Amino acid sequence: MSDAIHIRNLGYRAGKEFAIRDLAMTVPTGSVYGFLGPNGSGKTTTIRLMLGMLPKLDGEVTVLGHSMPEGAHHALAKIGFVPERLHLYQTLTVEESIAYHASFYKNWDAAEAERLRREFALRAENTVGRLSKGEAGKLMMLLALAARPDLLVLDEPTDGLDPVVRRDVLGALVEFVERKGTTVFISSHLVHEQERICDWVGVMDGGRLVAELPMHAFRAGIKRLRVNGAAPVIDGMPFVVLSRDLVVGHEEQWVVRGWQPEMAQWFQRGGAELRGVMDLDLEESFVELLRSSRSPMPEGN
Amino acid sequence: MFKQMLAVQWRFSRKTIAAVSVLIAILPALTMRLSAVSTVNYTPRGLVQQSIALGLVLGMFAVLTGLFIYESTWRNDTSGKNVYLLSLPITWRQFMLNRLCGALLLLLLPALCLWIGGVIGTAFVPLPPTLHVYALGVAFRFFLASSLTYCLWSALVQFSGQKATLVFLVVLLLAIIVPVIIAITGVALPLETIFRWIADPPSPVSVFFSRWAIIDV
Repeated sequence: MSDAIHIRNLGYRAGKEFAIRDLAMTVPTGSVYGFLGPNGSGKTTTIRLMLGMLPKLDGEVTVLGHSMPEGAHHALAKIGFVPERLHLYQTLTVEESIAYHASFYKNWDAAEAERLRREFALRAENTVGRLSKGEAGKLMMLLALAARPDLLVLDEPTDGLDPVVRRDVLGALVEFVERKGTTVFISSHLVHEQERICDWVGVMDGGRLVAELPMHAFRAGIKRLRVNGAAPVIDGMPFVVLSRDLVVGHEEQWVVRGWQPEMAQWFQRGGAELRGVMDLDLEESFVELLRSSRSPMPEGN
Repeated sequence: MFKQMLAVQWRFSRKTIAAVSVLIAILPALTMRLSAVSTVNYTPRGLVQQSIALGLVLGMFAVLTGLFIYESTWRNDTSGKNVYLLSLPITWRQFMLNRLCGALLLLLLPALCLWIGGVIGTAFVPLPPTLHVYALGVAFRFFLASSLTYCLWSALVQFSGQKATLVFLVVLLLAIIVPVIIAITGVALPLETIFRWIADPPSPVSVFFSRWAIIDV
């Protein structure tokens, strides 16, 4: 089966300050893809380009087999979208919003919408503009899920929500994905949240995708090493050094990507001593990755 | 889908429509009543003049109604930078068409009220045999004028910044630069012919310039 989202050489420019250049991204069908990046890195812009909401400068975007933005209305019929901010009409009630949204989707599941409304404790007669941030987040998630989409695109769906609401929203999402096997593309800067639910991860920074790999590889591949007596410049390393900091004396702390246990022997051959290998959690890995992408190590280090 | 879109449009603009409908239903009756009690205006000429004056007010109402219906509906989309609209599985063209059809249906309501108000209002005025009531015609004009305003305003607002600047420059050119050139060169342009071409039938804009008198010869 083809990939749910396939992006090649995507280019976009917003004024003089921000640009997306040569973005390539692949979201496998059935995966839960975490789209990580600091604020202002271009996540929302990429999502809008992906859904045909913004005109791309160049490149190819294919979503669920439809070329974007030309086939946007076909693709959007199979996509559940939760934007970063509340986008619904403020003066409509919850019930009216659901009815309005439902009228655009052939696969709309009215029973599921009603079930989720009760589960989320959303009162039908409340106007959207008077909903709390948590309730608004739940309503947007309800609308995305009840459309029975093949692809869920969630832009910071839990940003600003309290832990209880966040758990409710993510719980409904996980349950839906388990039941239907939908592909999920979830953007967030809350790294630990992604760690729990995603099996693929893409990291965006400054309009570039700095990493894209399976979550297990991302988690396992980035390590912190304690190294003693390493030469200042070393050639032919079998891994990528993201950062290298002097700790005390000749002992250094390295953060490396692509680490495998058998690579320990390489240090002995180079006359250095490997004193320890430590796991990094996703957040530390993410921070190190961003640090290295912003100020890359010189060649040979 | 259209039914829901219409329901939402009605929800957004119902207060404006209700207010305009009541007002323009009352206006003809009120004006005619005032004519009936006034000895100065209660002549065939006076009645027609009163009716033409009322027509000017109705024309302005038609323009304002078209603008209000557009703004009350689209304000909800533009305030959210059209994100909701763009995330729905419908082409922009289809969405615009549905919105236009919905707006035309909604604009029928005040026109209908104007017709009924005109008929009832003039029913209390004993007309001289030379004068006739044109309530349906004026109501139809109201509908056309408000619809045309809605369409023109939609087109203008949907322009990109570049296109809007272009339109502004063209208007500026026509309004300022052309008269200056005419003054300098002394070339006589058939301005009245141009205006008549814009304002007279079959130009759709003629609906704004034609007589809107409910009572006329």
